Amino acid sequence: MLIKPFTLPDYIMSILFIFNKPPYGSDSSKEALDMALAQAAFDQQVSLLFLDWGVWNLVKDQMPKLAGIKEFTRLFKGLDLYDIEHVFVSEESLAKHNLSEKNLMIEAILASQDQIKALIAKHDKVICL
Amino acid sequence: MSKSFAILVTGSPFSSQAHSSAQGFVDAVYQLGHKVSTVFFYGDGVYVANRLLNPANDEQHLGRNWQTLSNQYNFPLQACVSVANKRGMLNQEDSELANLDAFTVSTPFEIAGLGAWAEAVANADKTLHFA
Repeated sequence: MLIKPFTLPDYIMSILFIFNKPPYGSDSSKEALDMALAQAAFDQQVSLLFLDWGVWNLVKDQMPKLAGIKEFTRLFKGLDLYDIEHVFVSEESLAKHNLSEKNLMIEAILASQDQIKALIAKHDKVICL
Repeated sequence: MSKSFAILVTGSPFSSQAHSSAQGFVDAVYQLGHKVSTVFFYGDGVYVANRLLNPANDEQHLGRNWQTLSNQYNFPLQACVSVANKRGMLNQEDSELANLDAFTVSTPFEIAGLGAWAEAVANADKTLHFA
């Protein structure tokens, strides 16, 4: 998938959800996504940041059904329906997990460590489940 | 000026300090003249709403501590419906709807949707998460 350039808007952004755990080892990422979508449905401006093991949430073709698990990560493909435009991925975490933008199911914004610091500071609220 | 706090608790009552820390914080919030708009339980945090919790007499009872604080200061205790039901945490109504033979959540704990939490966050001055 294409990578969009890193830019931040002038205004203070509302809620940042940080995904730092893999998608299928626990319910944590699914529950974080459910909460993020609920906030977005209530007209909150929501952004997502994927880092550490959390980058695996966006990796395509994982086939969790083979392990008897519902494939909730397909919901990430519908983020635009919730007007969630700001999806950031840690450049360092992708590299650490030997992944690149080619492995991702959606378009995302690559962020360096310094850009992640700026991103967190830019948000009014930060939630990491 | 008085501030309102929305409190999110996701830590398990049995393997984290989340509830204990949150209870201390909520008490301090009121002592300093602020208030709590809601305490919302999510993830394994919902287990604290189990009305059948029965710890030994000399151990802390985190569910009862929440009840005491909620009675004293009058704020809602809400457990998220989807994550709670998945974990067997249901009120009588949900239990009957699902044709189950028992329920595990009763007042003052309420079952609420994520929409209630989204609204609480939007209206509170501060949001705090205890994991």
